[in-house]
Amino acid sequence: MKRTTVVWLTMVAALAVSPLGSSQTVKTLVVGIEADAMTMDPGNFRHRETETILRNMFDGLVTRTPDGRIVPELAVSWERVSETEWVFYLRDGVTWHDGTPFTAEDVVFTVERTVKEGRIGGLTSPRKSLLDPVTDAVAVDPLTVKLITSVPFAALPSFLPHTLIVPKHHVEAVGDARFAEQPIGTGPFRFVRWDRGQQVVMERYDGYYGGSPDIPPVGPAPLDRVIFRVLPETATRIAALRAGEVHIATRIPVDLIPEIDADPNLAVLSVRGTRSAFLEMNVNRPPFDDVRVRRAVNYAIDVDRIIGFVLDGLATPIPTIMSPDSPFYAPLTPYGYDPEKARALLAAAGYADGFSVTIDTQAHFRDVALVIAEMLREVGIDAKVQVWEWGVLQAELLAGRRMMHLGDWGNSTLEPNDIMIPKLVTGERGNFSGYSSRVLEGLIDLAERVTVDPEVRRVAYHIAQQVIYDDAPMAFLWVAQESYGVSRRVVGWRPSPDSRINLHDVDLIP
Amino acid sequence: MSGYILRRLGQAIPVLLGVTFVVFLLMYLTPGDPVELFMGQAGIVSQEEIERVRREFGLDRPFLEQYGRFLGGIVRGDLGQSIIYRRPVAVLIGERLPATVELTLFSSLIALLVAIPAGVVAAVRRNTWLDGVGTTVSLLGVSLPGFWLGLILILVFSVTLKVLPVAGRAAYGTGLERQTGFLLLDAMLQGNGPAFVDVLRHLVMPAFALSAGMMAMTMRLTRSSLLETIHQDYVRTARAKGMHQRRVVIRHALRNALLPVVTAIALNVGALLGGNMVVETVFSWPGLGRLVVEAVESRDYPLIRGCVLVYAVTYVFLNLIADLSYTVLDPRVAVGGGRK
Repeated sequence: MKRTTVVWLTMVAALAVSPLGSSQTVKTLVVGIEADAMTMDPGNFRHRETETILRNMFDGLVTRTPDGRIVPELAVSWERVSETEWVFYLRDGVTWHDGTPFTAEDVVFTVERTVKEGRIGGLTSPRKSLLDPVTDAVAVDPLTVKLITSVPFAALPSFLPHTLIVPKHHVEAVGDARFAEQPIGTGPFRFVRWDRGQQVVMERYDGYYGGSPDIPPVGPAPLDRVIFRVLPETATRIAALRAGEVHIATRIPVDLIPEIDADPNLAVLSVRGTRSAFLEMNVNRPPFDDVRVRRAVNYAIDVDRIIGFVLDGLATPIPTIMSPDSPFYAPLTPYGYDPEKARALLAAAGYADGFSVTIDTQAHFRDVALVIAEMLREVGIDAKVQVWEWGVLQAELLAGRRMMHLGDWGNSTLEPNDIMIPKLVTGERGNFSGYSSRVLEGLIDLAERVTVDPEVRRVAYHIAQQVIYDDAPMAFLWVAQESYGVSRRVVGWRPSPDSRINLHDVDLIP
Repeated sequence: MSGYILRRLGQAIPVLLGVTFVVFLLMYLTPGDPVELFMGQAGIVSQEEIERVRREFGLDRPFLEQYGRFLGGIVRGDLGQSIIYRRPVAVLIGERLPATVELTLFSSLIALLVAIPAGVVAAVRRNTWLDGVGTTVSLLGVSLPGFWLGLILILVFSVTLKVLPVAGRAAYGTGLERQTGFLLLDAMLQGNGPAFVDVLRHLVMPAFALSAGMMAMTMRLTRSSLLETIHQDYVRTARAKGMHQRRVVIRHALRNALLPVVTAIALNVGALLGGNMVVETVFSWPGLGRLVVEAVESRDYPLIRGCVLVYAVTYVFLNLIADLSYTVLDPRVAVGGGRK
């Protein structure tokens, strides 16, 4: 019996001792991310975490600074040579991770692979619409490339950070399937290993050209190795952060921020994201077919109070669906909380006695939905909340069968068309309120397909926001902050509004 | 014996056909559009684009044609392409299955090593404090949800004591290469001692969290089943012959008492394979359970079908194993003919 005990104790002791030892001199930064990459092929996904990971191994023609400016990356400069033609001058001396020089042929290959049908293993790139008016690319000389669009597309540079350039020679040599497993890029880190569902490992590329000169410092990355570790469960992600196994943890929910703040080795960093939240109303059915009722709902919700008490202050109210960070943001005054006005509008619309409605939402919006329902009840609208699984709810919303939907929509380019079209144009895939406005669609058309004059576009989009504000197809809520848990050893990193985690300039101190 | 096995396998075909058809029908009836979900809640996507993806994955075909294609694919060993991963379903399952099987086998092993001796002790020392402790612990084991237990284990052993890794299957840097996908086996094949210990360290907590329920159930079942047999005449006879108590219990009583336990265990192992989605998520274990959750959330029909097929085959197989194990435990049970 005693001998067994000893054996057991030895085993437990063996388990408790780390096999890796502490002789690590390699500077390794670990990011705890909530989902694994879907692929290592930058042309074959529609998935935010995949882009976050790949961005460290691949570069685009241009990139976006943490404060949202579009700056050169693989391109040095660009100009628009006609209504539908753009010329990009490429950086000299850039090499792929195998040492091959980067040229205009790679850009042409990438663009064609993205916008032409059936180019990735027989399937079409799901990123086609992110570049859509672009129909072709031509190499003018090894360092000059021309992009051709079907219509004037003034917003092109804002969309280009999402198109990462892939190596023509490599993809053609190994094939799409193999490339999606073992990629090479031009980015600050080169691919080392991908354990699916677990981690993506990369190491510094010493031949890196240095990245965008607009985002100093320029040069090879200070870190030796970067690991993106997949930790889907929030509690586990935070535990890994507290145990010192990861240095940056993504998506920290508001209610768990105090747990991280309490740890002297950790900090919470927040940034205003690019997802606009709103309460959509089905404008094709009574009572929400009456604009007075929709405005009444806007007046009935105390947005500031929800932000203060439910969201811990980590959100910014918005007057329409545009983020204040967008260059096209119109600084209108939000409806504001005015229950008297709400009751008066409801009475004028013939709903003095109120009506019943269900707020449909997903689990992560449940608390907010309950508070909004309570506020609506105060002005006489008998609101209850139903929480759905997204797959089912999306189908119901697309069919126009629901009355009120609390949700949000991403706008990482911060371009108005990128959110106004899917959310508010007739028949589009995110238009859950069933809204349709010829004026709004005419204004978007003017800004995107007719003119490239920045002043005309600015005015068109300001009027568009006024139209959305007046028609109120939704109650406008906020753009929430996104929070990250970060070890105090991490220097040189701050969260980015578009949720990318670029580790090029980041370092780790002991 | 082999004829019996062949016949049993033949019987499995209609079962699998039925399962696949029901799954197909359920997916057809469940609201949700894989293509809309794949495109996400952001950005502009044209209607043509949606139609094109639907066409490329054959989702625009009539129900029966899709089902027919699926069956035809199985015969050719082709489970189709995953919509979200854009890779063959068979490859995806092949990558994930070893992780789940390794975890399941390890936790079943823990469960059995603890539960059967504990059940025996509880039965033999019925109504003593030992029995009381066993009963209470097993009640806890059955009642504690796996994810909660998992999180508590993480907080205690990883965050506070810092003796075990929080999650995952293996650390980077042990030089372990993937061969069979069963990492413990891979580490042994490669003679990589540190990697073996590292994998084991990662395995302990999820295996324990997963096995708690099974452990408790097996212990209770062993106890009650043994209590029943222990009062049988032949046990009294054995004891009357002056046989040692331990020998009576283990050779005579336990062997018979294990029959219902074995059935329960086989079905439980199946349930572990299917039911570890939560534990796999908590411990970031890259297994089939997490793949299924992703597949269902995104309505990735080809992937759901493939996974369900694997689960169905596993259950059929485990049932067969349970039936065959009867013949080992109880010679009176003859295959093919029932009790003689």
